[in-house]
Amino acid sequence: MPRSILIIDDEPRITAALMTRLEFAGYTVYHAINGLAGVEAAALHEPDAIVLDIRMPDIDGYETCKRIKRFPKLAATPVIFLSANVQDTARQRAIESGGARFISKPYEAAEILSAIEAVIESNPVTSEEAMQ
Amino acid sequence: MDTHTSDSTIAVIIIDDNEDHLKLIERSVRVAFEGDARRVETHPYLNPGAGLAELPVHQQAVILLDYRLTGATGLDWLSDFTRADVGPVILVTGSGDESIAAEAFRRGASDYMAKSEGVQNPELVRKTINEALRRYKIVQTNQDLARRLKRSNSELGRKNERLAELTSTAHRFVDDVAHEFRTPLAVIKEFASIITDGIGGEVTPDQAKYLAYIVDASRDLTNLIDDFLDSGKMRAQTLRVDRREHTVTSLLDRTWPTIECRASAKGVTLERCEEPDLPAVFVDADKYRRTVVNLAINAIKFSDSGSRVVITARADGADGVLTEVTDFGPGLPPEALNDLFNRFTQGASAKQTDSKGFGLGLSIVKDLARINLGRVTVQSVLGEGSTFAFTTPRADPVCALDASLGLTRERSPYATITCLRVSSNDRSLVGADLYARVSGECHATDVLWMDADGDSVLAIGETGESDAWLNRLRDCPGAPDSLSIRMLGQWPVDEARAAILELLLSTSERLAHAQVDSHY
Repeated sequence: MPRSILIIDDEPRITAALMTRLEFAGYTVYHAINGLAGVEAAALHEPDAIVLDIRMPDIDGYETCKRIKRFPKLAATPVIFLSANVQDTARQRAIESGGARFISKPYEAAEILSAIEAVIESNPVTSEEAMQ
Repeated sequence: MDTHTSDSTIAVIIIDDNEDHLKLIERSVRVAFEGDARRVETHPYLNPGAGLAELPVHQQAVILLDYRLTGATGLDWLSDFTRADVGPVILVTGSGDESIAAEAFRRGASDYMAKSEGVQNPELVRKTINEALRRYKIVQTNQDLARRLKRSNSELGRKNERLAELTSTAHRFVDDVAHEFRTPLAVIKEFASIITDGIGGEVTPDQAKYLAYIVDASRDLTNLIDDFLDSGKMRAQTLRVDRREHTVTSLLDRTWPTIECRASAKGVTLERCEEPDLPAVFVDADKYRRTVVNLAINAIKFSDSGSRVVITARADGADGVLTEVTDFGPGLPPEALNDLFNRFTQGASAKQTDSKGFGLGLSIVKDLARINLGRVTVQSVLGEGSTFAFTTPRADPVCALDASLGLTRERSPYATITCLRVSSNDRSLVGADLYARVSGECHATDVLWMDADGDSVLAIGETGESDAWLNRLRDCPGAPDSLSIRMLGQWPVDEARAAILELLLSTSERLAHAQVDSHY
């Protein structure tokens, strides 16, 4: 079964670029256009990893991540922050709110692909499933 | 010379419950001011209450208040008259009453005068009244100045608040602009990459080459945005600095993805060479990353396809780590090395067309390295390549102190170093949190260490900035209400080391960042 990724970003062109890239790499991709929709989509699809923007119109990425992590079934789901905010404070807050990685926009495709692979690999839940 | 010629009328209020005495004093006053340029009106009262009730409001007045009144003393009435604040009050005493003078002054009297002398000597009356008026005027002027000072202080405070607001708005604006640039740039770059990678269909070799230009140019633009942001913030002294303890491995790990793709796009091999057991360094991680990225981009730019760029980290004596970026490109002639880091900062650059895409990056490298308490050097051999290197201090207060003092001394041997302790009574703030909030607002040249007890941080910086320091720290959005700042001392740069070391080594100054004893 292909791995699934949820993209939460309010910029549709970024989402389109990521979807193209990730689907080509063999992932099933879901997307949400804001934080609240992202929390719902995460609960519904239970993706293997989430790519999350920080600045969004309703709730920001930090809050979105915290809310996602509150679902017991999503607590271990790795979240990769992908943001145009490159301040060190943003990086720090991303990790504090439960993010596994932080990648800045503009991103390198190789960086995001290897990050997704690495976080899924290192998640005990998903790697256990893979063993079975 | 008479100092009161400008005050045209003086009302002299005379209070004495003995009618004869009242008349005598009134006469003495009239005689005293006969022929004076000012008009002197006398207002005699037998009853102090009546005198108090009829005090002139819009006129310069002097009150001659008798001490020996029926039922009460002049002292008892004194404060009522001084509180009315229409003019100086002179206590008129009987003979032998001089001892109450001190109490009279304490209660606000301007002066005192023996009644017998006053009656006999109009000149004394004149002098005493004039002197009291002079002093009263000085007090009035002082009070007025104090009021004005208070007013302008509060106005200044308001302006300061506004300025802080504007600075923070400017900060946000710059960050917003950077954010807005990055998003479309990401779209351009990623779709160009997607087409290059053949995801949208087959691409001809020519198309792939053109697309590679787009990707490369968008990477350049990304780095330029970072450069402009940093350069602008450094000039405005608003660049946030957050130095902490980091391992060089973690710093290079974070830097690698950005430079690796630049190298591979150019067909350049990027090599990493780290000496084992390097000490942790005391740096702002983001500034370190930007320094390496800028140096590496230059190195890659001047390397031919198939060539190598080597990034080396090795011990810099016992005091820190040296990070080197080596290319095997064309190298630089000796005469170019002198002002290499000053291009675009000294104005000479405009004429130098060969510095295109080179100067801003290097001058920023110099500033960024400085923020991390280090300096940049270059070694180059024409035809063989160049090595750019920068130092970073070991995560040890003494090393960081020496690095910082060394940089200050270079700028000016006369600089004065200020040492401050910033602490918080808010026990919920652990040291790291306080440190992060304070250092986030700290000026680029200041060094900060965290106290092991976790409730205070120690900072040093150059004088002249200490006021700005206080304001900035108190006004910073994350600052806790209980933030307090204590000046520990100020020394000329050459004497600062010993003094600050003493502070560092004293038992109360146990610091989390390093074991001072082992080094010193």
